[in-house]
Amino acid sequence: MIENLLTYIIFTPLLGALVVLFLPQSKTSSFKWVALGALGVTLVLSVLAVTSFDASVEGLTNSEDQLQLVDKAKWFSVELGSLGKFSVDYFVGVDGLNLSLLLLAAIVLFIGAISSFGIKQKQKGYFGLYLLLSTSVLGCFVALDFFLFYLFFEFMLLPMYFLIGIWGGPRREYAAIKFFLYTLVGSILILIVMIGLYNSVYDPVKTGMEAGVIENVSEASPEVISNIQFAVQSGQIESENIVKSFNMISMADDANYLPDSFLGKNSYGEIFGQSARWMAFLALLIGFAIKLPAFPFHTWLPDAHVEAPTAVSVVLAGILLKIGGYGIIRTAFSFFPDSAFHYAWLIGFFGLFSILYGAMNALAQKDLKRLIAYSSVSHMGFVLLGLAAMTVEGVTGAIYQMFSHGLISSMLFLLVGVLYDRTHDRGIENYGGLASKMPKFTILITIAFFASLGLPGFSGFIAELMVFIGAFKSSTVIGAIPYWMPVVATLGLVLGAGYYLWTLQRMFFGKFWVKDKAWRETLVDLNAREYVMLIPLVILIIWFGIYPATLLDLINNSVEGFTQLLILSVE
Amino acid sequence: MPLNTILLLGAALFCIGLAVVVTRKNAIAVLIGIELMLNAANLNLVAFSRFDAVELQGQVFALFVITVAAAEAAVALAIVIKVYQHFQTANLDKINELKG
Amino acid sequence: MIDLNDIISTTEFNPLIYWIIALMAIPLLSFFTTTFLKKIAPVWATLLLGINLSISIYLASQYWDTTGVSIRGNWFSIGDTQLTYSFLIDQLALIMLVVVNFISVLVHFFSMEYMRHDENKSRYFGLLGLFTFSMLGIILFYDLLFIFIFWELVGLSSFLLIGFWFEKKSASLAANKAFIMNRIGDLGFITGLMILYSQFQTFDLEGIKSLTVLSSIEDENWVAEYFKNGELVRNSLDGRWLSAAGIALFCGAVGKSAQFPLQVWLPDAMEGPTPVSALIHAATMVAAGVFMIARIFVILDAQALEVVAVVGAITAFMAAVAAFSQFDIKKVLAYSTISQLGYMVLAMGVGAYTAGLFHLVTHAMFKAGLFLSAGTIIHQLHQLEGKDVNFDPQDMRVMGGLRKYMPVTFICFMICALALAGLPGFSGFLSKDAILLNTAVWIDEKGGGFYFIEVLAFATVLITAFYTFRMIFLVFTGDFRLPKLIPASATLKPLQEGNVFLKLPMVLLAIGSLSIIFGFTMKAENTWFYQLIQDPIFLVPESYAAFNLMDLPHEWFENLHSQVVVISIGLALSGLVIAYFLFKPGAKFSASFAEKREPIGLVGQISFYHWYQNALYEKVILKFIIWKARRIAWFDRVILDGFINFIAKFQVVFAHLIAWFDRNIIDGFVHLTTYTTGRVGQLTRSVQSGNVQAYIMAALAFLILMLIWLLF
Repeated sequence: MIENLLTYIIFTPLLGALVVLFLPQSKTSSFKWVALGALGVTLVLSVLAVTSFDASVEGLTNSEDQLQLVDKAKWFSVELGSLGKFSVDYFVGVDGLNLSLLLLAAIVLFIGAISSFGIKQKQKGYFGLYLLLSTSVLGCFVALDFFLFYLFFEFMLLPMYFLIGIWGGPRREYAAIKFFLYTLVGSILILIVMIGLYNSVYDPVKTGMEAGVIENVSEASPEVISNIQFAVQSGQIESENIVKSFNMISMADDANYLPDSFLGKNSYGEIFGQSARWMAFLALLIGFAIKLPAFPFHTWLPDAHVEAPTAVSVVLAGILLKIGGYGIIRTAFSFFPDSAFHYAWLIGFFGLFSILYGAMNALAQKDLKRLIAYSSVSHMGFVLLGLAAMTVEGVTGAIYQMFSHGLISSMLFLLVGVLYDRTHDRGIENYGGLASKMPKFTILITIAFFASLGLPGFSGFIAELMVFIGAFKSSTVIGAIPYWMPVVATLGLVLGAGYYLWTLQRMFFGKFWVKDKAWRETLVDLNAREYVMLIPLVILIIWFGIYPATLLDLINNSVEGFTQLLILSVE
Repeated sequence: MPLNTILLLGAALFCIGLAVVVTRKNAIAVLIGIELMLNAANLNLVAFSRFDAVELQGQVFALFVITVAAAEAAVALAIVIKVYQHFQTANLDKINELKG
Repeated sequence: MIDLNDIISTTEFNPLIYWIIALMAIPLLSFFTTTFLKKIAPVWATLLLGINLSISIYLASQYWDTTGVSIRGNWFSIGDTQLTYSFLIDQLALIMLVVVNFISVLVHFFSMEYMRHDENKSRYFGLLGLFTFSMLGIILFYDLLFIFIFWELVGLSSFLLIGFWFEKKSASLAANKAFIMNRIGDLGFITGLMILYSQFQTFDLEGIKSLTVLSSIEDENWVAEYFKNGELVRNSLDGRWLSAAGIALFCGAVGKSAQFPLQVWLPDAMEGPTPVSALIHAATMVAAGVFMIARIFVILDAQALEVVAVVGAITAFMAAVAAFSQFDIKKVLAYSTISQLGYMVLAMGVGAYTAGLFHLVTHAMFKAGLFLSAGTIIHQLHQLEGKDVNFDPQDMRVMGGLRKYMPVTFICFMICALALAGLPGFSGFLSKDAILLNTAVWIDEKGGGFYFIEVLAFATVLITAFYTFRMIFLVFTGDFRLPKLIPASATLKPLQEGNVFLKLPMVLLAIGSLSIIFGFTMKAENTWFYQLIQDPIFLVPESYAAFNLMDLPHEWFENLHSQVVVISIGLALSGLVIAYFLFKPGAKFSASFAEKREPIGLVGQISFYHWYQNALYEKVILKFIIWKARRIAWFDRVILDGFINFIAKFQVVFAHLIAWFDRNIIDGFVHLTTYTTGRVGQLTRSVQSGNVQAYIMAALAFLILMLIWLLF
């Protein structure tokens, strides 16, 4: 096993970006190869990370012992006198909750790089920004220090803004600004909670070292830590010795909240007459729900997708949306499980509503890319529903849905890109009977459509099934959401079949017809580069549809640790 | 000669000098007016020195004034010449650079 | 108490698994390879299916007497819950295996001729392979999740085959309709899966059944108690969920087996090639719903079974009525299929498990036979089409008198039709008789309002015989109407009998429709099928369970049997007679038939438009959904996004306001200060005249003023 594997994974694309930056403009044709190479290395390293992941490690999500491939180093700290000390770490690691997403990100970024080969203008800027985006996305998935996480989370906006705003479609400025501002609103909510949390949470190990209880980190056995925690809770440690921390793992443990702190478990802190913990939870939830996106915070998505170039759409739908779901799991649910239970009904309802609302919207779209964007809203609703269930099946389903949707939506956007490259038009009504002109393309888009509408045999089905059974079981086991929610959510499956099959019928079946005569020549079947992007995705989608154990075996223990954490807080 | 007459002469000289200073446009004439006013003062000093027969402070002071007036006249004329060179005139109405 | 993990533990290795894998792999191989084979694809696919049939027959002979061999293994786990796969080779599976493979082989064989000139025939045979693969999956797996998976795959292959001629708009629309209607039913299936999973944490039918037996009703709650991984699990749901589970799973069958109210897709599905209709939309896939009900039969409670029975009876009657006024021969057969499926479902609903499955098997044979015969006719008529001769070869208005031209087809069609009408000597009689008998007994026990089921069931017998013979009279007797309608066609080559590819499957299926195949008897109970497959006992908690038919006194069956036989034969014969008088050559309806556009009268209209159900769905519900979707999209774009944009615009306007305030008020204050100072300076500077004498004057004036002030 390679030391500091995750660090290499995060910073290889950054290195690539530097290389692109310093290559002379005359070497334009080499930029894409640098990008592909860097992301190829990242992919290989990520696969290595997955293979070296020990699936047998158990533990609650709030214990650092269950983390693997951890890299932890002190970044900076500030003395605050009697207020104690605050320290920020460079802290990355994986467990079952983010492992699959790391792999997904590596795969999708790599394929996105291949798809970017079609970019012809300002290549240096494009590939530089793309690599920068890759670093921040990958970092976001593995960062376990809230400060670091937030840094990556925010930094993502910058390359994204320029990628949409420069290489996008006709209304790119509007879309880019909308995307940027909308996401920023969410970030602010997260930032507020982050500050609140930092005021409430301390790092037991560092506090112990500061107070002289222990000499170095290696002495920090669970027993010692709990002693320190007890000492802090009972006020035996001087306040100037308390080291406040942004450690996301510590934040998930109630014992790490300072006594009488604003966001502590038993705090009486109130905001607008509500418990501060509830409000903090809601702020985190909304912050990430914007990214997810869930109704009613989704309207930036169709615009961003429609205007973004293909590869950026792929990254946006394939990975960026998952940061929302991952954020909810890693922060909102982990930090405030009691609040999560309190608001489970609401989360489930918004999940359900997103499923149906997104599907209904998709049914009415005339632009293929918008249709797929709305279908993403619908599919991300399953993530919320599964999480709201708070059962093992539901949470597994939510994670699996993120993984699966990452693959499927990437494929869908790539396919739309194929069509757009040829005609520069995405109007569903401008085509007819493409099946006879582009049979191979039709086969692949049919596969993608059926995968997306949840046909068994494709990964989406497994995910949706787990969400359904988990959500239904929830009421019996934990009582988070009522029985009718998953039952009503099944309607999403019919609507999904409705909009996809209708689209197939309108665009691909029937007599060949296109709006513009000139397209008859430009509409040619798939080329080799497109096969290289699409075929691996097809294989992965089918593989994870028929043998989900590949992934589930890796994440089962972590998910159980996570649901255990939720259940413990409810009892 | 009675003191009154001398004082009246001094007052008259002073008034004439003042009038010259205020009304004449030519800088030289103004200087002459000033000389007149100085000498009016001298006249008064000399006149009153009669009441100090021992020390004759008034006469001594008048001598000082005459000396200062000579020095002043020299300096003033030099300035007037410079002013004339600069402005090509000695008319005080024309020389109003300090007007706000 | 039982531990779940013991029930669903992995079984020991059994070489049978190889056969099972082979059975499923061979059609899948056909699916993947035919695309690359152009010319020899049909032969290759047929050959592969032939191997499959041989394997099925071999397995049937090997395992005929065993009570069922199950093979189980782990698929994947969610948390500590194992999801398994399991196969069960029991008599039911074996019979279905042979039937499906047999008909599939025949349809492949038939298609070699039928699709000979289609340029996409390699795709066609590939899809047949995909279908067979999925269908075998439903049969072989003994796990509800896997049944559901293959259930959906069957739906996919059906979608692809109905839309095989995708350039026809009607075909792709029909394919969509089929898939979506099936999906609506599948919502129920998924809901059923959710309910069962939340109680039992497994989809394995063995597990579900074992745990259902152990579950109990406590205080109107359905409680399942068992051990899982050594820990006691006690799951409790409201008792109504038990019924709901059954009804929900049945919804799946409603979609797939084209039952009311989702049956509208099946007539449209006739847009697919006719052999496909024979295989998928008559013999096998649509029967999968009934097969699925059979698999979950024992966990259905009384209420669910009542729903099943009522739906079955309504479907049988409605579709039979719809069948008697159609012009398209395939539409008649489609409605007849729906009607017969209604019978099967009705049988399941009344608890006549064996009778329902028996009808499934007999119906598979005779209906496939009918479809292939109709296919032969269509194919041969299609040969007559030419440059100037365009007609719809499926329309019965162009047929007539075909007995003379196609005697073999006529005989095969006749045999299968007699089986459909339920006349003695043919397989349909035995099975239909058994269903009617069981229904009658069930209703006698149940009483009350359920008599309408019996009325519908018997009325359907009459109507079935009527539309069957109407079809026969219109197609095979009288004169060939095509030359009259389109004179140009008379000059072309004459109508001929099909070749051996078309004839052989037909003949085999016709033979399979004889009752002798199932035993030399007039009573279904005496057939080998009944010996092999017995009614199972319900496993649901007693207070919810339906009564078992076999617990009723045997005399009831004996007494009713003679009556039922007489009545059903009587009704069938009267149907025949009515059809004869209305549609015999030269009769009133027969004569004007060719010119007819659509039936007149209320009954005719209702029949022709199938109770206006389609119109309701397409014109009202579908329209409403699309309208609603557009409204929601409008809401999303205008209101929700508008709100966001409004906030953005408001921000900008607000920013301008702030800017104005800053510029005018805040900065204005600063300007005011400087302005005031400036004005004061302006005022004072005029004193500075620059004139020396003026200064002196001013000094003098002040001096004088001072003196005056000092002196006075």
